[in-house]
Amino acid sequence: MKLLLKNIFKKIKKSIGRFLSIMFIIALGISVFMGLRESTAGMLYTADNYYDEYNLMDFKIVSTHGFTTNDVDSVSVLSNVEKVVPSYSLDVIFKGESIRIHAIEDEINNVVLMKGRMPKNNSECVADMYKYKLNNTITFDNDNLNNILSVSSCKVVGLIKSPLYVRDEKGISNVGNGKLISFAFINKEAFTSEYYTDIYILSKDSKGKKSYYVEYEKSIFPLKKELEELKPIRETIRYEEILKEANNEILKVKNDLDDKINDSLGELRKAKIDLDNGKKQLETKKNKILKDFDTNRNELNKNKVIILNNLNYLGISETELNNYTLNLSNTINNLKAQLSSLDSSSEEYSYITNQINELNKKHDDLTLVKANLLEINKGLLNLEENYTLFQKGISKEEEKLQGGYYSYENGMSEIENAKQKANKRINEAKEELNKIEKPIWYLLDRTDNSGYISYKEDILKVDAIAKILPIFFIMVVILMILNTLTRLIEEERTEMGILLSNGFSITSILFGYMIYVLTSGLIGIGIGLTVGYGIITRIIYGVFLGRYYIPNLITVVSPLPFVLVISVTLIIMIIVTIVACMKELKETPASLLRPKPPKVGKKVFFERFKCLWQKLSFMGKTTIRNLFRYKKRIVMTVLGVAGCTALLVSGMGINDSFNKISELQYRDIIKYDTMYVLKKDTKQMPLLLNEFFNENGIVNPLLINQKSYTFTFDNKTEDVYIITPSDTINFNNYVDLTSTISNKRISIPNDGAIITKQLADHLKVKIGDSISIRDSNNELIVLHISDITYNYVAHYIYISKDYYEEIFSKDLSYNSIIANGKIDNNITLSDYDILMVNYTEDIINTFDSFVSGLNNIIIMIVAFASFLAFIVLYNLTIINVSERKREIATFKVLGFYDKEISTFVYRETLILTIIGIIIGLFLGKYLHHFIIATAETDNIVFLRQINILSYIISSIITIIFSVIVQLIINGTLKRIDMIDSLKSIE
Amino acid sequence: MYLELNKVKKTYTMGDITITAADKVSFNIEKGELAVVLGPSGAGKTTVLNILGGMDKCDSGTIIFDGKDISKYSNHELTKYRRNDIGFVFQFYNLVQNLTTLENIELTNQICKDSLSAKDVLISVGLKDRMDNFPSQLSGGEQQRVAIARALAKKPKLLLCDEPTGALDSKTGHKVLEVLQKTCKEYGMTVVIITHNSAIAGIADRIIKMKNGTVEEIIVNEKPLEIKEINW
Repeated sequence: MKLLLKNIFKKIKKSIGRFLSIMFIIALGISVFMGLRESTAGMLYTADNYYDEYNLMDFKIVSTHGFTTNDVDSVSVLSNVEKVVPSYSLDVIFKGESIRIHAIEDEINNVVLMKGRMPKNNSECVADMYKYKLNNTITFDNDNLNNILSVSSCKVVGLIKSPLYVRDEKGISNVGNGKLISFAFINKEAFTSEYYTDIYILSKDSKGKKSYYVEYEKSIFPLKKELEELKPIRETIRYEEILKEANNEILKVKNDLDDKINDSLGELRKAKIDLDNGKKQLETKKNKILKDFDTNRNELNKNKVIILNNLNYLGISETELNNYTLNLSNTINNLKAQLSSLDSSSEEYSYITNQINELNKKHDDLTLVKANLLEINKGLLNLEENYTLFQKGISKEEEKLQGGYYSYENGMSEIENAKQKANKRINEAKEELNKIEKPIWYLLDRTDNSGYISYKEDILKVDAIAKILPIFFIMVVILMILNTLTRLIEEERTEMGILLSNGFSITSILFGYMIYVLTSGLIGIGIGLTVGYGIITRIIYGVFLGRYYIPNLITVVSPLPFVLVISVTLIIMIIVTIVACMKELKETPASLLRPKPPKVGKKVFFERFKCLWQKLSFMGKTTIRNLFRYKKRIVMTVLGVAGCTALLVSGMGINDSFNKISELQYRDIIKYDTMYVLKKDTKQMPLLLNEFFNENGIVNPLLINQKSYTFTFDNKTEDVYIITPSDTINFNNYVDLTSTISNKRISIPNDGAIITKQLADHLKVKIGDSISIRDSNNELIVLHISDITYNYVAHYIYISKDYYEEIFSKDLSYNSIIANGKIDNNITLSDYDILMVNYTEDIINTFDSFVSGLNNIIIMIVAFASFLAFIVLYNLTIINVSERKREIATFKVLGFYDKEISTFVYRETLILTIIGIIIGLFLGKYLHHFIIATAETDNIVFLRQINILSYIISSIITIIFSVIVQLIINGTLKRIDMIDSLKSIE
Repeated sequence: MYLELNKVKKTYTMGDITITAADKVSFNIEKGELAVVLGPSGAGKTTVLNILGGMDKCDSGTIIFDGKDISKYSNHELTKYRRNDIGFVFQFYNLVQNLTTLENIELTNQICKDSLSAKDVLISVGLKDRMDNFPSQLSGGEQQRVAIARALAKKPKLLLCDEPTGALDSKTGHKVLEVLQKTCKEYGMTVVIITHNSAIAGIADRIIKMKNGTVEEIIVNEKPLEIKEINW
């Protein structure tokens, strides 16, 4: 046994070329098969792992009215919830671009810090690593951020990736031009908004499940159902809350107003009472004083009358009193003068003196009267003076009172006014209340994240290619293993004879060869697995890394295919070895030691055409006979070459199919640059927008109605858009409708619908038939088909306004505008009632970048197929040569030139190669057809045609390899030693 | 001299061992002679034949054939030499299995401008009825005669035969030798037969005996035997 092993290893050393060739064929087959087939599993796993590691939410709820803590609580109590995190996000504009600012959360949607650090305060943030640099400042250029964010800019202190944004295209935004460009995360405390804007939810049991697989969908389904049930309830509750809140607000305002009015009224009333009291007091005071005046006046007058009466009695009037007293004093003075002349003793004197005394007394009395009278008169005068003064004072008081009454009246009417105003305001508020829209919850899961879902869709497209081609590939490889191994063992015939004749048992001989075969097989498998898992998967992943921001690939080894492929390969090798060995070993050792009689020459059918046959050179004759002599080899060669050519053709064909689509759809069919989706339906172009278009130099914008419906075929439901333009003639400028029947440009008719080709194909309908589609309420709509048009992406139904109104029995209003020309990025769309803008260019870019990624994969497949073609050709030619060594040596000895010999040898291979190529071209066409049909989703058509050039290039590549092989073989041929081969038969 | 070997030396290196297959081999052969190189296994006769036939080059010495020194020939010139001047007959016939008897001869017609008609040659070697048979349908002697016919059709200047009877019984061997002798006489062709069978030596005009890579003896046979006179 030891000897046998030694022998085998010597043999490996000796026949290293063949050993390596088996090894490489296996390595190639395994690497391509495992690499291509398993790459997508690894990619999905990598993404899933990423999502799990950074806690990507399972659901996200957004609402038109934000969320209260009650909302959050209502979600938290659901039985299938693992974690609920209320959070904030806000779209801001920075340098004219929309950026979404999220709150940093610890437990969900974690950021992946790539550089820098996390924010320490509210004015720091971490931002998209693909867009920003450390220490950049992002300023929020929106208005009215005051009650939402406490900061108006933030400094980038860390660069991040986020599982929320795995793709270059980040979706739509509600500010700016509608396209979300980037994102940043800021401390949660920076948000001052009263309500949460987002609720992120992790579902129970979803984390262990593989995203993108059915098991994940299943795991989140219970929660989805719960949330869907919760949604209408919370919407209503929230609506009522809002209404109640608003009502309370109104009530409070009303009460406040009422209170104020009542306060004012009270004050006024009190003031009036004061006024009335004042007035009364004034009256009383006035009357009393007036009475006093009267009493005083009467007393004075009474005294005066008495005095005057006394005077009257004396015959003196008041006016005469002064004169009278004056006369009296004069008389007295006269008498006094007389007296002086008279003796004092005289009678006269005494008389006179008596008289004087009498007169003096009278004079004194009168003087008293006079003084009294003067006093009375003075009193009267005083009294009258005081009276006038009093009158004046009273008037003033009365005026004052009057003023009070006046302002009271004013106050009253003011309050009346205020009351009316307040009532008006309250009524208005109440009217507003009726206008409050019911909040809507938008329940989003991961598939609503454009990055998340398109990653899978892109993978599926790759998958279609990566799953089918390798099968073809491995088939060619298995053929080659069969062929090479059989030949290897056949050549060992003599040695087997020697071993057998020296008494080695069949099992031990078999075991020896098994070791040889399995050594090369296992090394080959090892290399194949390493290259397949290590390199090929990474090449494919590299295609995705350009557009997806995902971590490095984690290679997944799926146990079943892994074990299956390895065991199938080994089993095939073992069986082939046993069968081939047994075929030889069943002969006697003696016969084994004799050379195997060469295959007998035979006349072929073609020789019956004698005249033609005889014209052939002997080369031609041998070639033709040889072609029929080694049937197995012919089949192998043709199949091998055909397989490789088919791989090349389909690889390049896939390229052709994909490459053209975006051009055909977005250049030849869809000719508008932009589609503006309006916030509200409209019957005609809003003035504001008209102005907007004029300002931006956009000519001839066209209003259309675009709405999504569904149709069902083969138990599948697909979306279809009905497009109704406001002007069918202008519409022709924007969308090229070409009939698949007449191949002519058509316009939308008034009495039927134009449907796209794939829709017609799915529903198996033709012109004149009817199709039924359903709207979102599941109501059936039946349309009459008047023509079918070419289309490649999505399904459309084009109808005219008249037909729309006939079918739907309602007036048509428009929700979108299609136009050509760019708009200014700094425009706030919502100012113009535009919900969002879709750019055709973006769609093309997305599509093209995917196609160019796909091209890399195809280049790889083509490269591997080429390599395989090369190995196949090389192997077959080598076998051909080794089988005919003697013949070739004979030719050499006979004096054939090297060129003649190699032509002779190679002619067969060339003919077989050409036959293989021809078969391969057909095979490739069908293989391509099959792959495309698999890769094609239900709403994208890929072209079935393969460019003639692809056929030509595929053929040329195969022929080039053929030629290279010939060059290599030429060397081998030259090295064939004529002497050795001629001496004796080995 | 038509063919003249002068101190031809040939050594083979196998790993560390150097084997001298031929050393100081010198002999002449006249035009139209039938020469036999005789010697036991390992005497170096095949080496000499290979060198004579342009299949191998000698290390030193000269080989003048028809006035040209073929020891100086390049590979391409050697191929040309084989193609135009030399006819070979091998011990194991070396016919192309996939061609009929006739086609095997036509094969040489293809590379030789001035060749004999394939049919005529076949008739002359007595295989008229076997023309359309494949080699595997012929006996060993018949195959060898086809091989001779193939060599003759080229009208070579020198016919080299390596143990032409080695794989044949004596009766068939006689027939083959007859053909060779006839060829030599009728066409005036120079024939060199290599054999270890000394019985054959009798029919030769010149016998070159070899041993251990050197020429032991050269015998000019004035009276060659008829084929039927020899026996083995």
